[in-house]
Amino acid sequence: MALSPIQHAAGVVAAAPGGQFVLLNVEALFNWSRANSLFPLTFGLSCCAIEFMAAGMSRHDMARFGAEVARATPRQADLMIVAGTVTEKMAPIVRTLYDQMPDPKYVISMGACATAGGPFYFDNYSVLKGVDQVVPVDVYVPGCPPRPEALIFGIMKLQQKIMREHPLLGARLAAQAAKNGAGSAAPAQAGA
Amino acid sequence: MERQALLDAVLALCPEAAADNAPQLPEVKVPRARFRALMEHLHSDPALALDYPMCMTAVDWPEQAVITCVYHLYSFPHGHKLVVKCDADRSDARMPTVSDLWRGCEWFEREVYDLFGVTFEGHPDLRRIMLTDDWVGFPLRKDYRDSRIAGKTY
Amino acid sequence: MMNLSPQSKDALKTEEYWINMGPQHPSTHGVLRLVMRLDGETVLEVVPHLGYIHRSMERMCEWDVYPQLVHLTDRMDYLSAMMTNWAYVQVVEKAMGLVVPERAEYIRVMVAELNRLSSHAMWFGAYCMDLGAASAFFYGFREREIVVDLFETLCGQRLTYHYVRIGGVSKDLTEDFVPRVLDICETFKRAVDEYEALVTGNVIFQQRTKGIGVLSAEKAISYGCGGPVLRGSGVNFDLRKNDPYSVYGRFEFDVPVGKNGDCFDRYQVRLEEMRQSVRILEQAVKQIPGGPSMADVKAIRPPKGEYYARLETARGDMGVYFVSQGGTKPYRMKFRSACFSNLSCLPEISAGWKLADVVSILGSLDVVIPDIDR
Repeated sequence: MALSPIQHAAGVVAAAPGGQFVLLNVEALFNWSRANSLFPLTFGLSCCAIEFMAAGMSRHDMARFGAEVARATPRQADLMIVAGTVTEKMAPIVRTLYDQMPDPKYVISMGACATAGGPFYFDNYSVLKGVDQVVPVDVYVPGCPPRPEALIFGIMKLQQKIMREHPLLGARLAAQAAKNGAGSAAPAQAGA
Repeated sequence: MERQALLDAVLALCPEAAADNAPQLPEVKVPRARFRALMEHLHSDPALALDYPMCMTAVDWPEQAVITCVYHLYSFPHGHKLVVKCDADRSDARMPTVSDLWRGCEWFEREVYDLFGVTFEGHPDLRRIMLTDDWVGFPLRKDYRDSRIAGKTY
Repeated sequence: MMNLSPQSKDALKTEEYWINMGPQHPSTHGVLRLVMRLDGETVLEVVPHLGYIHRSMERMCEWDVYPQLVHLTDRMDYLSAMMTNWAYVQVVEKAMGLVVPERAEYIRVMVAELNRLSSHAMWFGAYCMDLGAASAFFYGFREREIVVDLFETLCGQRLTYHYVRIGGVSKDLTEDFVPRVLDICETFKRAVDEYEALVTGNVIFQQRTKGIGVLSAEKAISYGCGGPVLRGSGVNFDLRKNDPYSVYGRFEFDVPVGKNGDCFDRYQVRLEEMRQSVRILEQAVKQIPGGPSMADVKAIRPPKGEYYARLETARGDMGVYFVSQGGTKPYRMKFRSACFSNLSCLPEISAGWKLADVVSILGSLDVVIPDIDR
């Protein structure tokens, strides 16, 4: 697999003595800054959007977690909170918005509808049974609608997930794991 | 206007209609040939003045092979209500439009077209409103089948 | 020096172009797609595209029994969920001839008016944010949270209440309900005065709303508009007074009516409605009797026939029509949503205005898109 210039540079540093230690700390810095300044995309589809807005308002205050600056354009957002039901008509647009977001990007599926179709699972011809049929989801937040505190908990879980990423060493660690040949799961993200 | 007087006035305008002093709201059922003329009278006649489209929808009756279009009308000057029904053939469902009389019916008729497949002749912009333009079938018909539907609902 | 008058040969050539607004857009209040034909900044034609949140509720209604359908109505106009619940249960009760206990009627009126307050407070915030005053959103939500806290104590839910059910309400009032309602009344009296002081006299707000998006009374009636959209156009019609239901006849309240049918009038009508809702609440709290809060209902089987009833939600005239074959499930259920008819006048009243005015007009119509798409 071809490595990007940053990954190549990371590989060089990692090969030097003490290099992996340096890189792990640089990665921690990257992860910490990404996790604490998530820019959500304003993507309220239906009822969950109100609780999403309430989570950003003065009582629940998502700004404490760095996630208040909601961008209207996907080009400037890195977190897509799918808040509401995704219908067949809306699904291609969800995918387009996801594709327009720059890496690294994360998706929180908020509410029962986005997770699995919600109360609209049965007898329904137009609802997509879960947004993970069109975009990969990082965190699922159940509820109908989830309380703002539940959404904030979901964002905190996402922050913990981001802190475990390996943006620089990811490819190298994956290659090492494959070489060791086990069926064990390699660490995830190889974004840089 | 009182219910019976209202029904009498409507029947005077259109003798072929069948009145039904139903328990809730007065109803008339009109044959399709007289439908458009009656609706024009209902809208313009000052004694009736049914100027507000309360609701417009359709009901699918596969056993009788008709789709009944149901119009609920209200009059602001007089305060009375009337329900007008008209049957369209299920196999070739066509109805005259009333979207020039009640502007709200423009979107109501589009919804009935989208979900039942009734074509409204003379409608300025008859296209689907809720579903994608390339959707096949009319979902609120009783014989609509779709693999997307989960559950034992046939 | 170039002569740019249209007749001169140096004049600029202009073209009309189509742009797309939505379905993901901060000011479309949901997933509404507006395709607009513009000449420069002036909007010549607006074509709304709906259906992005069409959740086939009417088909679902044919496969569930009547009590199960109340939760669907919560999710239609979710900002006035108590009232949409009520619109549905009202027609089923009328069909069955079910008598709702008086206490339940008073509770329904109180939660409906509280819901109207929270809906209008949120609308105020969202509308001002659409026009650029983002801080107003926080003010609106601050008041809304107080009402929503009360609802949470009452029925456990913040948004989709499922509280008003066939035959009454699901739980009786808690002991602290009445004192908290009186507190809310005081809070909202101060809050509406604060909103008036902050926003109504603001020159920018007035320039963006006065004279914009004028809807005449005849057009409003012909389009089937209801609620503040209809009253803003000068039509003195409120279902609570003109086609009364429940115990609204026992309360004294005024119906605010606008004069010009522009965005400013619709805004003022809503603010005044908040004050009138407070009046109704204060009277209801004094008049509420004791007794059961739910009728003794066995199987819900409305007799064979067709039924229609309507109710004044925060957005307008919501009607429910259903056809019963005598069984436990409806044969056909149609929700005549207030926002569907209110939005249908948008193409006509926004033609000729600037792009930013379309946002103002759409906000003043106060649409909740899932109510339109059902």
